[in-house]
Amino acid sequence: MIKINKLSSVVLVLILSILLAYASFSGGTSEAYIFPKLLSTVMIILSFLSLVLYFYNKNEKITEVDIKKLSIYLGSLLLFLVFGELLGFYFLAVLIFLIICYVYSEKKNKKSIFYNFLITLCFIIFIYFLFAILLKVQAPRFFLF
Amino acid sequence: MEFLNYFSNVFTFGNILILILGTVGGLLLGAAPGLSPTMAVALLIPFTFKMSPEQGLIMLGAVYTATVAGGAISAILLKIPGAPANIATVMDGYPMAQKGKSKEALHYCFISSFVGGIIGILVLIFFTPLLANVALKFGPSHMFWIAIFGVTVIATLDSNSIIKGLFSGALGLWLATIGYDSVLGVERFVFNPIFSGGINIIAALVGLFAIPQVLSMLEKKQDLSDQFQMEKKSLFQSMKYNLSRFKALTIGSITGVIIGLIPGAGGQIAGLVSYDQIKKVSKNKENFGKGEPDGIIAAESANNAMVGPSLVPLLTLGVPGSPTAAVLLGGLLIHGMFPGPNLFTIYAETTWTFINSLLVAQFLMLIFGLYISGLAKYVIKTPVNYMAAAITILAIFGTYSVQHNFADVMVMLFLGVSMFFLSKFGFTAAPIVLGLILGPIAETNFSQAKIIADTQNGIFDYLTIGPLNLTIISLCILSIIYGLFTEIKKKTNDKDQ
Repeated sequence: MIKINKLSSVVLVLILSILLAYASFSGGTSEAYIFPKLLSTVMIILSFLSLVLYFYNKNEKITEVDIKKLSIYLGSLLLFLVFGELLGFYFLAVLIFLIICYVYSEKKNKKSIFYNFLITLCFIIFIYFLFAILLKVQAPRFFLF
Repeated sequence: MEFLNYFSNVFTFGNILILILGTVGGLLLGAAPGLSPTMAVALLIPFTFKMSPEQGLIMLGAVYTATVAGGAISAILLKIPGAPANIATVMDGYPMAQKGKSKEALHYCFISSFVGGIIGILVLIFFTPLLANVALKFGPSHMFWIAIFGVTVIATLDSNSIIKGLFSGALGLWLATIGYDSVLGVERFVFNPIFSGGINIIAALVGLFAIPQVLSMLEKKQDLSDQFQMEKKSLFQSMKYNLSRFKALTIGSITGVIIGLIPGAGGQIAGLVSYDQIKKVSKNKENFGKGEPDGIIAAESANNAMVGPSLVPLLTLGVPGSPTAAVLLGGLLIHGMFPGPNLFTIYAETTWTFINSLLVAQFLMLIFGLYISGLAKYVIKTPVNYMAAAITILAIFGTYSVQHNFADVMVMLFLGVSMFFLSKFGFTAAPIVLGLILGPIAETNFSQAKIIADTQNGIFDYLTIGPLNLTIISLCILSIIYGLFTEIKKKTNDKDQ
């Protein structure tokens, strides 16, 4: 569980605006950088304003992120990013669909696993029909699909 | 009344079949997160090659109309706008659905879309030549301020903190500068080759809205079937209430018509500006954001009222009034039809049949939209794990299908996961998305303004002098002041409680 308070939000805004300002102002003197420079200046002003307001009003509730619960989902997205082009979209879509359905399912008995397989199959057929046949989208493939 | 001469052309078997297919398909495509009207029309253009110009345009027009309205289905039920035009609908549509009033919200959405759509098409039919002159008056400085106004409106509306909202908007505008500068052709911030084409708007839209929602669903393990109770609401009651909200319908429709006429502005600005306006004049300001029907009525009547007028500058000048209208221009050109007076002389039959079909499409959209809203419970009852998996896969394929580029999928997933964590810090997606959408409009017009201003009294004078400039700048400032006032008032109320 990651805890997030108001100060971390202010620091994030400040760091982000400084980074973007650095990128904008170190880009060169070309006129193409005028607009990003203007924007990053506005962001720096806003982040300082939020810092001032933080000291003015510190009362803020703390929010939490249940990273443990989300790790499987985030991992499956990473799997797609790393192997998406290599293993093909349809193969990985089946895998990810099954993983998400199983891990985040309330019931994990044989019946629900069977339903997971059935729904995955139907959904992937629908996706294949919609994108590959109707819209002629040639997604990266692996062996037969 | 020339359009009446060609009205019967719409009612041939082939044309009606295409209209029905386009409307139903458009509603479903619009409801699918990530499949925006622009993308739907773009994806369908190749299919219209084999059709006659008339049928091809009817298909594209029906899909354009229906996807704008259909995008509200996922906006209301899943908090994921099916299209940028439905961003404003989320603000009160989703809270209404949480209160068990999703069917009622969908009724308002389609009835308002119908009213706004009809007004917009009538404007297209009757005021095309007249309104084209108004659109011509917008120069680079005005377009720049219109884009900035769009960002300030959403920053003040869709955020608990105006500073965070404005920061998000500026971040979106900055992200839009990644890639090649459209005027000078200079490459900027391309730290990796995947960014050389900039950030694709569809990828950003899908990522910023769909993925954080999925993560949030999985984190809270909120079962939507438990969350929502579909209360029974008769269509007649909804219709009676909806039509009695005359102020919201009028503000939405008029805003949609005006925004539609401004080249490049699009439905997202129409929806947000009308939402902002109705909130300002409403007696129930405190209910906005908590499920106020007027919010949906104004936003949906505006985004559909925008459809017709957005075609006015397109058909008369070749200047699209919205991103989807820009794609539709491609549909005209592949059939050898160039915008301008010829459309109403040489191609009069095709053009008027197309415009008339848009009018009929509004009726079909209402009928099929209301029918589909009755089936919304099946979407709601889907268990959270299936919903999460389906949205993720659809988001991946939808993003990939735009440019057949894996980098877009990478950007979409990266932005989505980042947005989830940013939302925990109190940031919202809408200002970033709108910044990304309006970024190229703002920057291109800023660069053009600078080139013009260099020959005159300088950029500051060029951007700030003139009644139209001053009006739009005043609207930007008023929008920020209003946002600050609302935030201070809300914090004072919270302290009192």
